Amino acid sequence: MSVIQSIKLRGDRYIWLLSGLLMLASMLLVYSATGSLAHRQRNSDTEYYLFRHIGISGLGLILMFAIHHVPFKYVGRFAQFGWIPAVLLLLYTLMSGTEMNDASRWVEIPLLGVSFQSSEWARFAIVLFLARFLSRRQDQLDDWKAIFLPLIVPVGLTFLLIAPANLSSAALFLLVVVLLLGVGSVRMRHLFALIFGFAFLVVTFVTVTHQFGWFRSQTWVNRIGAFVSADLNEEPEQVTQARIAIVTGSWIGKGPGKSTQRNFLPQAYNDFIYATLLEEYGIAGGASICLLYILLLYRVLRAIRRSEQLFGSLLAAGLVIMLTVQALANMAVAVGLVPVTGQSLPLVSWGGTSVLFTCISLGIILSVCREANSDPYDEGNDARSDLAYSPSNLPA
Amino acid sequence: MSGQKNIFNRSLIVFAILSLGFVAILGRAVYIQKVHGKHYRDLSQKMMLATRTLDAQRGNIYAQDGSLLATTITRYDLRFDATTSGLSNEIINEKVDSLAAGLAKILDGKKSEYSRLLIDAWHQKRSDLLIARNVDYLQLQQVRALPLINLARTRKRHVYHGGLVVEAHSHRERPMGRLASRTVGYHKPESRQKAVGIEASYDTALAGVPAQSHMRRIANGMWIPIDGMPLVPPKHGMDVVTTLDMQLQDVADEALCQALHDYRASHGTVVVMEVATGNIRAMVNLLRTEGESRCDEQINYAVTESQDPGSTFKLISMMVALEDAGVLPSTRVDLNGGIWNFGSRVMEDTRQHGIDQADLTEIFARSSNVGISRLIQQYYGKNPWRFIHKLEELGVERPSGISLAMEGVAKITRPNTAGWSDVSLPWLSVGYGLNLTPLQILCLYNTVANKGRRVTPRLVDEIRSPHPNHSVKTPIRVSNEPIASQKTLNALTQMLRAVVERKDMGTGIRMHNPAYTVAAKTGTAQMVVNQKYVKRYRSSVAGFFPAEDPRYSMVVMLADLGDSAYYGGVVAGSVFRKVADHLYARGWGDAGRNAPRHWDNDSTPAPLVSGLTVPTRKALQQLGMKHHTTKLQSTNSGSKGGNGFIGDTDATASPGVFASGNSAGPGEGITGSSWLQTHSVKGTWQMVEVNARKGVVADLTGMGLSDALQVAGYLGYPTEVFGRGRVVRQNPAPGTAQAAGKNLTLYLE
Repeated sequence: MSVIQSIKLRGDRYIWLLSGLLMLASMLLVYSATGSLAHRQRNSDTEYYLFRHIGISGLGLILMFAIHHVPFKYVGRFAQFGWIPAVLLLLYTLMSGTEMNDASRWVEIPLLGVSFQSSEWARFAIVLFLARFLSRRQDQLDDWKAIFLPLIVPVGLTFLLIAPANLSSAALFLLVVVLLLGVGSVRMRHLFALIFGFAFLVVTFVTVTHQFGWFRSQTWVNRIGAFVSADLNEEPEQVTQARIAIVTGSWIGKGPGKSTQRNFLPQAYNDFIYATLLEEYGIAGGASICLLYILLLYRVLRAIRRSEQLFGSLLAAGLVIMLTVQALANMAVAVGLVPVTGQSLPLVSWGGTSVLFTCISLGIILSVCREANSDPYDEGNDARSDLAYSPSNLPA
Repeated sequence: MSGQKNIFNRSLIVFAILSLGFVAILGRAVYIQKVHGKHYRDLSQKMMLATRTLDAQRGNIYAQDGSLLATTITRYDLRFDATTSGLSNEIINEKVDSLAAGLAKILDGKKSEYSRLLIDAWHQKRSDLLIARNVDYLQLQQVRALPLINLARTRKRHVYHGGLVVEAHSHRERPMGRLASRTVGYHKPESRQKAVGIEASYDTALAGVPAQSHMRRIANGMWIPIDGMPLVPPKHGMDVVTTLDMQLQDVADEALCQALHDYRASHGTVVVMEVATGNIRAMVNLLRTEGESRCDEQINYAVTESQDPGSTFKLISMMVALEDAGVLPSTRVDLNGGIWNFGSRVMEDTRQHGIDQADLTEIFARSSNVGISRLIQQYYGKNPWRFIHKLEELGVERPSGISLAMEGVAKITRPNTAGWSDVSLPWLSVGYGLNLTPLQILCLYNTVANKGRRVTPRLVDEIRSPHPNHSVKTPIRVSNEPIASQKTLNALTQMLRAVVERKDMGTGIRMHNPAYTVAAKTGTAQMVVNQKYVKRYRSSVAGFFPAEDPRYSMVVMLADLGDSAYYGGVVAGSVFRKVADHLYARGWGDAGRNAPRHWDNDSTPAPLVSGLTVPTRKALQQLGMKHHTTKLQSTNSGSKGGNGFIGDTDATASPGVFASGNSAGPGEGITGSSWLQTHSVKGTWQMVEVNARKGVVADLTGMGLSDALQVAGYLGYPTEVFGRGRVVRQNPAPGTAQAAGKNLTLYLE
């Protein structure tokens, strides 16, 4: 493989395009939304946060590019045990993490001085693990023990370690697990049993912790209570501000940089960036971003159809589900469909680790696409030669 | 079905569900817009915009001669913000010494102290170190020029305020100090203290109409005025011109304070009134501070203290006797040596005289209790109601009608009230058993002086607006019907003169001055403490002068005198004499004829009134005035006036924080660039709009101080101010080329 070839963008060009468009939107929104933060903390150096964001996005693109050239089979090696350090890191975070917004979710990476949300890694690692696991159990789908028992430790542990500091992330994590198991052809009856099991787990967790006043249980109950309440006057300040943003944005928005609610919305550049988007670009802008995510789903679906490798398909599906669920969660908070929680909008929100993990995920997806595309017109790639992860019961 | 195919199908379903999720999100956003749109739009309006009101400049209170009695000035509190960006250890180390030295010089403090405070604040990252309170505009400008703080302008990349945080607040001052301070009163909206005096009574006129401006909220909860949004202009509070004569007030004040100390009285009052108009020319109310040689104005005794008047009331009893009972000044009464038993109680004359028979003039001049009470008992003993009704007819119980709140209630004891006995009438006739304030006594004496026609005391001459048609002269109120016949009034005047002139018997001979005639009655009343008469005395004199052609009436009262000296003729008489002498020396007060400056004087060119463009024009529009505006002097700095808030309105800079420096907060640096000069030309007003040109001294004459300072500030001239009122002169003269930073001196009158 020549150097020139290796520098070329491979994989699905549309996914590259979609990622680029999302990042472009991100630049506009982050620049606008960090205005008041910059004013408060950086002596009105309004470019500071933009430049930081551009830097991290650039790093993300480099990672994405590098990873998409790596055959995804190597991911399988990581997928097998990657969740173990993730769980250990979660444990460490829970005990000594940096508190941000009253929730210990962050650890400082030594040397780099970057805050790191360890649940991102855990979620990512479990998706890889599940993809690999499911690709190898396609012949035992009727045996619920073979499917579920090996999952109890990684999935259960991860949930229990994420939940105390970040219940919503933990719940979303379970949702991603359920959806990925669904994609992985798990029998419907098992799936429904699992959904009930997870629901039970979450409710029990909240009830028990609230009973003892552990963790942030009071915050969860308050937020859920506020969400259930129908009285507009009792809704939380941030919900009100987000709705003002949505209402005043109307169909086509106020225009780039014209947001006023960014001054009142907490994390207008992150958790509430979709509200900022709706304010500045209206429903039209909001729909465009949705369309980009839907197109991403479509491109991955296309790759799955072409791919002949179960692991690759499950990997791409799992990662794109993870991204999309997070995007939906962020948007749902902004429009008030679910209680307030802090989820970033993949590729759009300002925030270091989120951008990097999203880029890594996209890099893997692109790698799957690259090999799926190249399959029929083999250009000498080694995708076929590696059958290690092909299901052993492929029909003849 | 192959696993691969299966996974594709399952993916299709899951992805479809996720896509529907996005549709739901958009649906929800549209739903919020359509269903809750109005609610949140209204809410956003409320949260983003607010109408702020700023008090208008409160009107001034003047004495008749134009002396300023109360005015509003702006003072500044200065704080240092050590967290301001751009400060560093190097800057602090380098500049803090010279800053501290500068502060010490300007604010009259210690350099070491300032230095320590500033360095501490820097180390503790304090944002609110108080440097000084209530500094004036000049001091503020000097502080702004100090090292470190003046760095505000030199940094570009970051907004740097130099650390000076300025809070402006308006402050009411009484340039005359104690003089008439209680009559002028106070108005302290920020404290719970009730407003009193003229400040309270004329609050509506003085306060004006507050300005309203639409403010917009920006980041960090800061509010800025919205460009181009109409603001309700403030309406200047109107000025109140009193009838007080400060020269006379000063004399009366000094005489009373002296007497309070000489005779160890606790408090006292002097009121001087013009007989024909009711104009109050002096109103002194003093409380002596024990052990100190000073007095304070705290309570308006003249208006509020309603007590037994004592012997000064004998004038009224005598008036009833002469008018109703048909006695004559020559009628003789048996004094029984100056002692008489009325039932259970003994009535005594104050001084032993041993006279048995005396005519009414002598009885009055001697202030004989026995004589007056026996006279009244003789004619009204069987029908006290008739006496009471006569008092009512004379208006004894009428309030004076002065335009001050809390006037004491006049009240006569009546036969149908509890406690009325056989002795009540005789004692009533000599001034016990009824409550009158000194001012109400004065009104009765003034009525006698004014040929029986009652005049309402007039404390305020004019409520003056910058616009002549809106100035209001207070009416002079004189009753048509005399309360008694001229014969009776003449007789009473003669008796009052006898009090002063009859050296052999008069109790008020100390008030006698051969140069002019005085008609007055002394009074010495025992005071009531806890509803019992105690051996404390109230010494008073009421009268008028010159007796043949009364110009002034006066009441003097000193309260809480001990045993040593308490006779009205001596104690109160000394004050009366000094004040009357002063008025005589002035040719009966030509000062009163120095008409106050009127804005509506057609014969002379109207005084030039200038004001910043926007508020002035708004004010004129609001007043419905026709005006022409001519542009003068094209500006080369761009017309920026008109979008400021604090600055270009007439509002006083109300409490609000703004930082120093070019790009500082609202209300600074954006005003004072254009103003209107106004000339009145026979009915219409001609206005010239003038734009400031930097580097050229503007014509500030005719402007009020606050406007003038804003223009000067715009042009960058540190300003020195002399006098009060409007600018009449300035140095350098208008039109002189002068670079910013050089001094400008303003003379106000």
